[in-house]
Amino acid sequence: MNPRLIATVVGLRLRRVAADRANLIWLILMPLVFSYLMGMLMGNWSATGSASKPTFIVFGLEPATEAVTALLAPLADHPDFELVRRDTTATPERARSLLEDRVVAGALLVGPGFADSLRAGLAPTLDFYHDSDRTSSQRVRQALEAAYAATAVRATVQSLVDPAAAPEDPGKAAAFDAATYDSLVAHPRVRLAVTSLGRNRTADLTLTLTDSRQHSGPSYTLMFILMFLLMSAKDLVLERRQRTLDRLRLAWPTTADLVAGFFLAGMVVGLLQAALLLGFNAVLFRLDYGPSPACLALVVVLFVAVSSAAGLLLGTLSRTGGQADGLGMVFGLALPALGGLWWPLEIVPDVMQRIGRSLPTGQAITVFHDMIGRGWGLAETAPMLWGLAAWLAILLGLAVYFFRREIRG
Amino acid sequence: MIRGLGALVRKDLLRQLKDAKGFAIYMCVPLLLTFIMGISFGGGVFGESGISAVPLVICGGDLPSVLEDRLAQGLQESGFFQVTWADTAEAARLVSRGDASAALVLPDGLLRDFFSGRAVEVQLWKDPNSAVKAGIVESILAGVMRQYQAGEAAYRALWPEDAFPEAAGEDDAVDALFGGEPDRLLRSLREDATFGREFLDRLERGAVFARTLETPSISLELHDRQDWEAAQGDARQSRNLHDYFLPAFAVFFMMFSAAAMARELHRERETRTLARLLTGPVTVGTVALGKWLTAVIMCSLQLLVLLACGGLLFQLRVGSAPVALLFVSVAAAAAAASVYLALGLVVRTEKAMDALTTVFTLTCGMLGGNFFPVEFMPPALHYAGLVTFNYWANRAFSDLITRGEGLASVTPAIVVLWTIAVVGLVLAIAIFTVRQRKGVAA
Amino acid sequence: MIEVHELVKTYGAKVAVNRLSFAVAEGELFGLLGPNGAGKTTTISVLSTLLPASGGRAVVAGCDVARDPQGVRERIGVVPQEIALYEDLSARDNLLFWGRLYGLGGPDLKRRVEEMLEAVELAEHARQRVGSFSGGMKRRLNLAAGLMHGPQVLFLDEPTVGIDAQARKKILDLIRRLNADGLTILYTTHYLEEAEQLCHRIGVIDRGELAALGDKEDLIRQIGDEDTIRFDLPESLLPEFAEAAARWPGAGAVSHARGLAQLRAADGARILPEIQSWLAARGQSLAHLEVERPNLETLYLNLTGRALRE
Repeated sequence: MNPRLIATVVGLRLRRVAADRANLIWLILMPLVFSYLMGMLMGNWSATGSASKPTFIVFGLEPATEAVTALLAPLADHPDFELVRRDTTATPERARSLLEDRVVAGALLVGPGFADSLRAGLAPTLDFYHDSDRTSSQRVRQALEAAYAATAVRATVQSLVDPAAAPEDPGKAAAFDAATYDSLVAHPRVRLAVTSLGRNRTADLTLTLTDSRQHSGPSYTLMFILMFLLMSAKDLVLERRQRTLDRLRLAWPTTADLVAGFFLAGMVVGLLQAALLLGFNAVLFRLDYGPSPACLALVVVLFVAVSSAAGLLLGTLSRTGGQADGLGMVFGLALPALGGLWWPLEIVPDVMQRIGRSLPTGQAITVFHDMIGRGWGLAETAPMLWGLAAWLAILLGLAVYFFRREIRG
Repeated sequence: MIRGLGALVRKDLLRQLKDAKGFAIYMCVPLLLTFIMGISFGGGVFGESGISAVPLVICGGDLPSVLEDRLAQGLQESGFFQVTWADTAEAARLVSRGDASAALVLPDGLLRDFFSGRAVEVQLWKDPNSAVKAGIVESILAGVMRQYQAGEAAYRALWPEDAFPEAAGEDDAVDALFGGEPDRLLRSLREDATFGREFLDRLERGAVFARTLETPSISLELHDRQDWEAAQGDARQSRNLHDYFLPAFAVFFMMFSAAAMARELHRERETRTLARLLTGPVTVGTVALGKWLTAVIMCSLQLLVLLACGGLLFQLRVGSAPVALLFVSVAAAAAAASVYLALGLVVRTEKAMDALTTVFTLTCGMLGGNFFPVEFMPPALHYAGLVTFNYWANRAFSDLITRGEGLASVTPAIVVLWTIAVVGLVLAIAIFTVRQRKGVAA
Repeated sequence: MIEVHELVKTYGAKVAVNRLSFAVAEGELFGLLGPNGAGKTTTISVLSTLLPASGGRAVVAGCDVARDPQGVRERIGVVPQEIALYEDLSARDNLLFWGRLYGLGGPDLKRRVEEMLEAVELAEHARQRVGSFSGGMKRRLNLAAGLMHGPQVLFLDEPTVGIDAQARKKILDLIRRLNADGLTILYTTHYLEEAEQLCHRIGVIDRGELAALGDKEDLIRQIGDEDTIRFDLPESLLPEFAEAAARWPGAGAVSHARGLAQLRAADGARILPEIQSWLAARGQSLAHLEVERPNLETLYLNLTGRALRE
């Protein structure tokens, strides 16, 4: 192989990519837009913070009872939704239509006789309308149920208070100590402590995959690298149809030079794209790729190489530009979807997780997750990296085989 | 004009049909993606749910074995969890490697501390990469914990004198109970009358308290949209994920088709057939209308065929309001055809149009809810989504297929889509006419 | 049938057509001859209503191109320089479309399609995709598409570009037949021989201006009826040669360019022996000799100072 000639074809390809400014859309613009918007759409995965503030509406005539005030107090500044109170009554139909028209994520109806019923010990009902198909509605429901637990227990146990009860009646209490109750609810004796087992990067920062952008940043970088290089397959078809490939073949000494030139050209473009996108993600979305730059470099190089080989194979096998475009689109969308670039693999069935992690897209994003979330390096991510290397060997081998066959006619 | 228009539409339709591969791609890709969604998330022919049980590790060495078994059995039987027991080191290893989503770590001496009134901290270790499944575990445990915490707080607010045994200097009893010497506790009960009476009083209070909490004085009635719609007489409300995804993908790829057909105007300009057309007895308006009509027919066809395939392959409920479905498909196609025609005429070359329509389609696809329901988005983006035509198409399809609505409820969306269609078409023709007057139309 | 008066077309500061005036009679085959970029296509684009004129006036088939473009479009056929056909459709589908566009339909349309396919000798390939056609076949179909509706005036914009001699001959024969049937044709070309062979009258156009107009003989007369003889001769001998040539009957001006002597003569053939004897007497060998008859190329060169194929 002649490095100078290979460098020439790489240079030619780079110049052609740079000459078409529309390529910037696929290379840079769309991946960033997707990373940003999809990250925003998925919301924050951590317990705090939120990307979205849907409305939780409460209908009920003032003055509200102490119980309702206590119920709503912890929901007033909730990070997941905005509490809106309406000093009116509403019918169930109204609440339903608000839900159906997606105006609100939840509606609570406090009936007009609520306070009287509560005083009379008639166990009044609060009606909460929600939509279990909507994440935002689920959030409202969870928050309401949490507040309800404290409020309902407090209201319920009032029936056990009887200052005049005989001392021998152990089922009655002389009083309800509200201060004790509030204090114990705020500082419970029995607690649940939640810890993420991510590696501590610094004293303040534990590496955890708590922000959806930690997924969307790398995943859309990988997706658009793959798509761009698969879509580049059309260029090879056009080179063949426009006879420039024949001309190159006549001018070039070996097929190996030609294959290496096309493959490396794809790699250079892919690596540039990866460097730019991962850099932008680090700066714009403050993504921390973990403590192992070597692991980051290796996964990027391997994935770009796999994508470049896949593009070369596709370009060699496709007869027409339309065929290359079509197949590029099919694989460019299916591989990211199956490999967990669109959504985390943990939410799909086991068999789909296994399929996903056997694909290069799934292997690469798993390595990214492990670097970002667990702080893993080369040793721990080796199985996935070997998987990518195997894909590279298979795809590049096939591409070289078919390319040689094509050239020999 | 009508005859010329007919000839143009006939010719363009013929050309579209000759490009069977292009048409097939736009048909196959949405079906393929819907299939992937189906096997990933379940629904329709793929069953009700695709998500697998949450792998959960529990560590708590000194729980009585009866309690251990009951806890594991209860969690396992819920179907949500796949429970294993391990020591803390193994649990930490499993969770940190991602082999388990979470570990519930019950501290040694949990029961003794609990009954002694000492602070108890149950730990939940989460896999740092498991945003969803570990989140589910946390959410369930937090709910249970809140109920208990409220109950305990209430008990102590009612009977502060009922100190925990340890606080009352009675830790002997607890030691006896949990130290494997129940006989000692029984002896204390028999021999110490005061202790026995207080012990029984507490038991009675506890029972009364628990019974009271069973019938809360405020009840929270949950009304789920799924239930009230099911109660309205039929199971119109869909739980089939394909009902959302297939129409969303169908609309998304219909946008690509509409863009491709509008791009034909540039191709015709580059191959000079547009110039030739404009030396014939047709106006630019007729040419634009011809392109628009062809796009409307092809895009409507694409939507309807995709939805029909969805009905056959993924049990999409497309049959409940076929007329409304047809109207929505045509309105969506008309709006898409107009928007892309106008976009195509804003730019001068096919390449520029490619770039513009790609950005436009992907951005609108996202804002208009073709990848995720729009309500997932922050309000600003949500409102931005309302001005995209595909939002209205998605919404109408969702109302028809997911929610089983009829023509009446999708009429506003149809009106919006046709308004966009008419405005877009008028704009396109105006741009084209101006360009012809300037001599740059062809 | 076509009247062009002081026609101007500008693109910003650039003048593509500058005060062009000519007329084409009914049944005439009129050629616009000029190199690439001379303004031929722009002229046809204005006359076929594709481009608005910046000045002047043009009337085609009795309709003013500015005031009644629709009237013009109904009466003309345009065969553009590019293969403006739908390559993914068959030859028949293409002709059916162009026929329908002009309002033909039913049996008339089908008959006309078959006629045109026969006329351009593509009946056997009617069902074939145009994309699979050779260059010559595409050119013939391109011509047929412009004739589908039976126009009164046909604009042919370089219809033989890029095809082989045999295919060109077929097209030129067809054009002659059409013209013989009475069709008025405006034909643009940069092939001199085509203009010479085909056209009744020729307008020579350069840089948007009409440089000459007339039939072939008229134009040639403009540069005189003398042959040009060129042969190699050292420049030092030129004065002596000029002196000798002045004595030969029919010999004209003598000049020297690029190492060659150049002699204008009324009859080149008759003067050649004189030249050979003169050179032999001085021991000069004749390595290069050419005699050029007066033609449009010479005219063009004289008028514009550049060759047609530049």
